[in-house]
Amino acid sequence: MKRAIVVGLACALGCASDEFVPVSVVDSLRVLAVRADKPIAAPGETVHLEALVADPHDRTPKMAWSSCINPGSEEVTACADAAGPFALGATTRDYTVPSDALATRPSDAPIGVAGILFAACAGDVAFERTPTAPVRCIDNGRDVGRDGFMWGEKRIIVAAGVRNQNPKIAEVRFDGAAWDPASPPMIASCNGKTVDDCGDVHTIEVVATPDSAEPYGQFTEDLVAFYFVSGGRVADDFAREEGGAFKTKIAAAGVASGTKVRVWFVLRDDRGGVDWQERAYRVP
Amino acid sequence: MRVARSILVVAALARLLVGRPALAQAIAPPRVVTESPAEAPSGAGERDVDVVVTIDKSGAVVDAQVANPADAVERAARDAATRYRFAPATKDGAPIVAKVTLRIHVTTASPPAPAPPPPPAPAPAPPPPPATATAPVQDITVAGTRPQHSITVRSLDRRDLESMPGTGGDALRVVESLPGVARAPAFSGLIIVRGSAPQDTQIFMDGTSVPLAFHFGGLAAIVPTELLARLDVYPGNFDVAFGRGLGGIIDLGLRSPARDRLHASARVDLLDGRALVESPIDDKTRVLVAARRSWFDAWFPSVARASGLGVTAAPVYYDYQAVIERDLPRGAVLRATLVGSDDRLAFTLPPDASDPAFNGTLFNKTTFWRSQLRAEGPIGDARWTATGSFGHDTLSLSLGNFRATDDVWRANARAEIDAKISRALRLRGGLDVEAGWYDFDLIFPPVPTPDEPDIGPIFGRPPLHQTRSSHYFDPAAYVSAEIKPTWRWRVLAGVRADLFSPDVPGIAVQPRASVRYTLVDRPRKTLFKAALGLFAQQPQPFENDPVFGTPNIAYEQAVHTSVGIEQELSRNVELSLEPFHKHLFDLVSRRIDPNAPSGFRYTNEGSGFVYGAELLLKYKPDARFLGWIAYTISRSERRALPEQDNRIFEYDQTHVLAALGSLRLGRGWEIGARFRYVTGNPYTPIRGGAFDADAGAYAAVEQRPLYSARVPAFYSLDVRVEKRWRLSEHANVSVYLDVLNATNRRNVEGITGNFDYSRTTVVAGLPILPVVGVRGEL
Repeated sequence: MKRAIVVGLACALGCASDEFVPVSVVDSLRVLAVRADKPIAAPGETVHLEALVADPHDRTPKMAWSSCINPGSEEVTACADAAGPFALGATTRDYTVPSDALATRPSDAPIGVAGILFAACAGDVAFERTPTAPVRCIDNGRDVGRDGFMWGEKRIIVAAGVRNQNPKIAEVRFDGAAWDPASPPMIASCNGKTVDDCGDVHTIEVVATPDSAEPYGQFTEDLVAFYFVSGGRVADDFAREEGGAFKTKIAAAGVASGTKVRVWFVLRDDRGGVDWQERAYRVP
Repeated sequence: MRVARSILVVAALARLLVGRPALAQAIAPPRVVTESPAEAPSGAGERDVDVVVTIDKSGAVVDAQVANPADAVERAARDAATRYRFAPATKDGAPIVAKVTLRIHVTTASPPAPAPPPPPAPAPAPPPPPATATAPVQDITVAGTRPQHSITVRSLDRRDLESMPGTGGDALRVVESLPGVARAPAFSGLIIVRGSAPQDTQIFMDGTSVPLAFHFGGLAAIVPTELLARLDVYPGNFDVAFGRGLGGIIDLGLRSPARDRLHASARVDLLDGRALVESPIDDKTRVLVAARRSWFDAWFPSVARASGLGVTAAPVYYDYQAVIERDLPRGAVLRATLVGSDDRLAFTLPPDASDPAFNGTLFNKTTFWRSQLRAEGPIGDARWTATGSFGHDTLSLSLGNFRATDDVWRANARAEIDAKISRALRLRGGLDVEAGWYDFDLIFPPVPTPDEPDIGPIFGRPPLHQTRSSHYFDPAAYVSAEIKPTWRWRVLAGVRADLFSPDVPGIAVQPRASVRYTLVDRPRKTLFKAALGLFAQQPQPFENDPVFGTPNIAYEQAVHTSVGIEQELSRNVELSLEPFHKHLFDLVSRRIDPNAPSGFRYTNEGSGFVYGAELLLKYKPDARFLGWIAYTISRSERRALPEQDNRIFEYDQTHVLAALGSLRLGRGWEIGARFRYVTGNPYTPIRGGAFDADAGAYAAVEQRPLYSARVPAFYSLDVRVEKRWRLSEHANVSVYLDVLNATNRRNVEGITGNFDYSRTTVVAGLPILPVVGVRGEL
């Protein structure tokens, strides 16, 4: 949070972020999202989790999972400090909320947090902590770097009698028309680095179902759409709804001819709900 | 050994060539450099006497007149006045002859009486008498201000405030060039004094607290420099009349309106435009009205877009001031003041992959106004002051579903009486009451304290919500005694008691004492000083809130200790050195508590310390030059909980050096430069990132301990050039160019990383920034 404030204010007069590859470009092994069928679950309930894993090298990563309950701090590392041992698993996992998860919570505000830790590794998982991660990822005896390893946390809000449905992507559009996953459109390559550098620019958008933004208390859920590409560029890494859709622009900046580029759309609400879809385009 | 005390009163008389010192950019009043004691024969009586003195271009008194030369007391005052030395009055930078009214306190000699003073001479005054004779204590009071009761006060007058390079003529930015004041982070508008948190230092305007020092982003102070008579900075160990703070005090003194005739001025620069009109209404009443409005927002966005910058808006601010003053019988003055400020910003944050919550339009509106009624006057040998103020503060901040609104009505009343009991003893007592009522609404997730690691992105975190309406009543009382057993010693001892209600238990009793010892008075003064005091401050509003904090936590405390030496090196050059120490305790910190709504329980288990030394080598302003070198070395640490280790304070700056000066070349030209060197600010290195699947962004995995690294040191050279034209006897116009960071050095303000913190880069501060302005005066 501190970084966001510093960067947001300092970048008011321009900051040098051009040197970094944007978050929307998947140039390494990434877990783009983790979906829980129950973002809010009661004690004793079982939650089914699914990870959206993307790898530009089409590797089959190993997944490891662990969990913590009410770690006492919002930090991801706090959960890692409090979590039990990791175990290998698949890209999906079932987690049962402990029945006593709310036992130590205040009686007038019985809300807890179950932290689900995950790690994706393009090598072999070693169950030992490092200064930066709760497990190691090793290939041929050496630590795998950023290109093939990442870890993170998905939180399940623990509460009785409260529900949060995941938002739902109703439609994905390409230049205003439904984007058929079986018919990738064509986008001409260009030599630029950003969408603004390219001539063949198209609009892509996500349309959410009308009930995706649920009311809760005095609020309505805040929805944000995230865009990811295996090549080329999008104009915005994420966007909020405008005119009933979440729009941005896409171009095949720096993509070689004949490439098939994968595009992921991830729609999130601000209470842990998520949905995603995948499409592709081709570069002639 | 008797002591004489002089008061310099600048009166706008018909034949006075020194105009209103506050407004006249062309005319500056004479300034006392050397006093002389005034003693009447035993039994003649002791009182203040007005002497009309004529001062030539060299600063010597060439004539002195009293109303009744036959009176022994008045004759003693006249004779002493002839021995005064002044820095001469100037007009457009050139010395001029001036006539002023000098108020001299005449004492009565006691047996064995010293030799009577020599008779007055029309020629320039002879050298002052040796220090072993009736050496006076230099204590100068300008009408409308308080005598200084704090051990250390850095006072800046109009000349200091307006001529300093690197400040764009903004008074409060000069503060950063003083010893003990750290360099604030860019765009923050924070003031950091002697290693204290920004919220520990208070801003006052003529004794009434105001919520802001700067308009949004630190662009400009809330009061234009043209309205200030003085700016006083108390870096620590301040007087018992001030409280509710552990850091320093900044007191802005608004000047009096003109007495002689109608005056007007206007000024425009890249940031804003301002206008001021003042005039006497009758021979006892005068009024001043001023206003300012920014236009930064009118041109900056288009320039930014053309330059490819990512900003779509700029802050809009305006402020206004009005002062009306009336002379009352028997030397009393009544003054009514209204000041106000309004800041608005609608800023579209650039999409930042580190936290989707900080995306969209940030709305920020901060306004306040204060009305103040102040009266002061003599009662026999005593002086009384009464101040009442009333005002309104509003804050409104929103971003997506997060918001903060605060609406506060405030009232403050001060009353003080300062009485001379005997030759060696003065007593002072006062009341300082603040009260108000507020409406508060906050929706935001819990945020980490500086002692805690960054929690990462907050998008997807359930926010806390608190709505509350309540009141506060914070009375305080103080007494102090000033003891001068001999002319060398000045001892101040006092105590202040604060009640912070309704949520803070206990009464904070704060004893404070200081001593000044004049080792040598003439020809060059050498003075030693020391001070020790206890200070208290109430918790921040959210810290004892039932939802965001913990109710009924106690006030914070600090012990300030300082010693120092002040040495005059020449008539215009003085050196001061002041080591200091602060012990901070009962600081508000927090522990994890799953039973608390925020997940934390706030306690008073925090502690810390600050130690260091300040050095100031100052050339007192004369007709041509002003400047100083200020250097501070310090160390500031905190500890949140007893079982934890100390950590470096997040604004700790080991070395702070400022060297600056301004020189009048003649023919209306003035040039200046300021060089600054500051140790880089601490930061916490990042080792890597972990993905927060709810936010869709990465959280930084920070290195322990926190703040274990520093950004590179800060260097900056600012230069200023001004040319003034005299259009007529009463009209001037000037043009100035103030170039900030003239060498275009890319100073590092912070470290940031890419979206998963696998790579880092620096956040640079402002590049070279020329500020051009035009000022006209009538």
